[in-house]
Amino acid sequence: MSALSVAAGLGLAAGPARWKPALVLGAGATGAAVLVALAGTAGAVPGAGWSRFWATLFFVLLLWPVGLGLVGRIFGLRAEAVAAAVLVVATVAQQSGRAEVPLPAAVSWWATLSAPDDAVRHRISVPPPGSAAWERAWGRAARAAVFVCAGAAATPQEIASGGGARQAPGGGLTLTAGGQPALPLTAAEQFRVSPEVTWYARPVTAAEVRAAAASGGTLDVVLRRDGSEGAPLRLCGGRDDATRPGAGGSERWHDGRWSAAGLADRPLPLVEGRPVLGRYFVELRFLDADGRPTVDIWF
Amino acid sequence: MSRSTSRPQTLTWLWLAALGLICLAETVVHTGARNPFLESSRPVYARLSGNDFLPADGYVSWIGHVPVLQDAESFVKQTALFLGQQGPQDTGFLDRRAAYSYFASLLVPWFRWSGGAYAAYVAVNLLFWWATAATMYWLARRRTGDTAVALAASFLVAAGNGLIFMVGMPQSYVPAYASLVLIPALAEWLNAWRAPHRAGAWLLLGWAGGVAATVYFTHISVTVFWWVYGLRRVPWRYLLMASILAFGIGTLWELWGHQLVGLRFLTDNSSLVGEATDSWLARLFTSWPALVTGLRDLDASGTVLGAIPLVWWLLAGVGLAVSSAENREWALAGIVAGLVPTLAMLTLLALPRIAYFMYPAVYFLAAQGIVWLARAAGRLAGRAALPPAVARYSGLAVAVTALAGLALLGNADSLGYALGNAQFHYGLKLGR
Repeated sequence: MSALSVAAGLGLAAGPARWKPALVLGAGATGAAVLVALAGTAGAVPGAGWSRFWATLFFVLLLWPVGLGLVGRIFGLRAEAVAAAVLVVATVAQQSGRAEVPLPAAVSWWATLSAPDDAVRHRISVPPPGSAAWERAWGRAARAAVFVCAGAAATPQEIASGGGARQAPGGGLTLTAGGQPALPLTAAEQFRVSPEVTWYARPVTAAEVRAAAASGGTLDVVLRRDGSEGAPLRLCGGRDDATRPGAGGSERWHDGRWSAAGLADRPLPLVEGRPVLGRYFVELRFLDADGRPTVDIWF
Repeated sequence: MSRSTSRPQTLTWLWLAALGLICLAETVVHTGARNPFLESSRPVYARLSGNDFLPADGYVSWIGHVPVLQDAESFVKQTALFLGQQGPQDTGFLDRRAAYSYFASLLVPWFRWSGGAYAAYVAVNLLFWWATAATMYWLARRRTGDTAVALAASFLVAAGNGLIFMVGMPQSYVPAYASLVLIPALAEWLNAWRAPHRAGAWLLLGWAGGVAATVYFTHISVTVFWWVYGLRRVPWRYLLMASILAFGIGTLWELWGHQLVGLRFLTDNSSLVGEATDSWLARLFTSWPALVTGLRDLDASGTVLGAIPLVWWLLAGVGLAVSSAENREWALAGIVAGLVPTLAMLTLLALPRIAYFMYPAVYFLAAQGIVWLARAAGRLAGRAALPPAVARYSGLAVAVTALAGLALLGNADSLGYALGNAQFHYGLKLGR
C-alpha cells in the first residue's frame, strides 16, 4: 500500500495527490536517516550502539516522515528538501561518535577533617560597608549568621531511619569567623537537614563583619580540628561559578599553608579540559524574623 | 507578484524576523546563572519554596562550565545516549521526555566550537520559542482576521514570562509550551473543527499529540482541549481516535524504550498523575467541611496567578468580553485545558509551570483586549478636541505602552526584581 493510497483513504486535507511529493521526499529522508543510524552503531561506546540505534530509530520514524511531509505541504517542497538535507547532515554528525556532552562532574563533594590541624578556610567577599548592598542586607535582616554545611557519613540504617537519633558530629573542631574567638563547633546552632548533612550557624554582627572587611574586604571563616577527639567531620563542597563576583574563596590547610588546590577529598576532574572551581558551603546568611535566609546570602 | 500584495508579505517576514530578535534578546539575558528556573531555586526564596538549606547557588548542577538546574542532568545523560557516548543506564528520571534530548543531540555536534553543549540546548529552546511566536501570529490572524491582534498576540508569546523562565534551561518545557500553540494551529490549518470532517486530519492531530507526549505531558492538556472545544463540532469517534493515538504514542515510547533501548523509565511527574487522582478521590469522600478547607488550602488562585500574573488576566477579561462567541469558546476551552492538569496536580504540588499551559488562550484574549482598548482610545481621542496627529497616534500609543509594560513585567528580573520568577516556580502561596 503506497503512502498516496493511505493518504487517499484517510482523506487528508487538500487532496491526497498534493501530499504525494511531500510524503515521498519525507520517506526518502527517513530511509537515509535509518541507514545512517545503522552505520552509527559502530561509532558508539561499547555496549551502547544498539541502544542508541533503537532510541534513534523510534524518533526518526515518529518525527521525520510525518513532520517532513507537513513541512512540504505547508511551506513547499523546496523548504522540505532543505529541512530533510539539514536533518540528514545533522544525523550524520550525531551518529559520527565524535561529539560529546560534558556529563555532570564534581557537582558536590566532601572534604574530611579527621587529623589534628586539618583545617579549611573560606573567604566570603563582603561589599563595602555603606554600599547599597551592605545597607540592604543589614537594614532588612533580623539577624545574620555564618552557616557551615557539614556532616558525617551515615550508616544505611541511619539513613533509613531519618538519622534523627544520632548527635551531629563536630567534636574537636572550632569555628572562627573574622576576629571572633574560636567557638567549639558543637556549641554552634545546628540544623539537621538529613542523616548526612547538618548546617552549623554562628551569629555575627555588622560591627564584626565591618571590622573583618576592613582588612581586605573579606570575612574569613576557618574551621579547624584542634585535637584528635571526635569523629571525622565531612565539610560539604561543590562547584563554584567562576564568573561570580567573589568566586574562589575556599582554601585548605596543606603542608603548613593555605592552598586553593586539593579542596576535596578526591581530586576534582577536568571538565572540557579545564580545571573546575570549587567552594565550601560556608555562607553569611541574612535571616528574616522567621529565621529564613530570605534577605540575602553572601558566599 | 504585484507590488500591493508583496508589501504585506514583506512586512510579515519583517515581523517574523523581529519576533526572532526579541526571542533571541530574551534568551541572551536569561541563560546560565541568570536563568530564572535556577535563580529562583536559591534559598533566598525559601519563603515560597521552603528550601532553606540548599546552598546559596540553589538546586544546581553543571553542563561543562555553565550552571543549570539539577533536573537537567537527566536530559544531558539521555543526550549522551543519542550521541553514543554512554549506554541507557543511569539516565535519570525523565526518560519519558526523551524527544527533547533527541533534538538536542542533533545540534550538539555543531556547537562544539561556540559555547558547548549548553548552547545546543538553548538553541533548541530558542528555535521552538520563535516557531511558537510566529505560529501564534498566523493562528491569531486566522481566528480573528485582525492583523493587529495577531501582532499583539505573537509579541506576548515572544515576551512571555513562562518562556523567559524556561529558555535558558536544558529541559523540555519550551518545546512542550510550543506544542500548545503548534497543535491548535495545525488543527486550524487542517480545518479540523469544520465539516466535512476527515479521519486523516484527526490522525495527524493525534500524531502531534503523541509527539508532545514524548516531550512532556502536554498531550493531556491538548486532549482536554480537543474534547472541550470539539465535542459539539467534531464527531466523537475522531476525538477518541486522536486521543488514543496521542496517549498511545507516549505509551509506545515507554514500551519501546524499555524493551529495546534498555531505559528504566524511573518515575517523573507523569507518574504523579495517578497519585494526584487518588488524593482527589480521598478528599471527595471526606466530610464537606474538611473538603472545603482542603480546597482552600490548595491555593489554586496562587498557582494560576504565579503562572500568569493578574494584569494579563485583566486584559484577557477585556478580550473575552469583546471577542466573538466562537473565539470566546475556543479560548475558554484552552483555559479549561490548562486548568484541569493544574488542579489535578495541586493536591501534591503547586506547579504554576503547568498552569502556564493556559498561556495561548490567555495571550490570545489579552491581545484582543489590548487592541480593543487601543482602538477605543483612538476613537475617544478622535472625538476630543485633540490635534489630529495626536488623535491618530493615541491608539497606537496605548497598544505600544500596554505591550511594553507587559514585556517589562516579564523581564523584571533583569532589573533586579526576581520575585515574579520565584512565584512562577512555586506559586504565590496565597493560602499561607
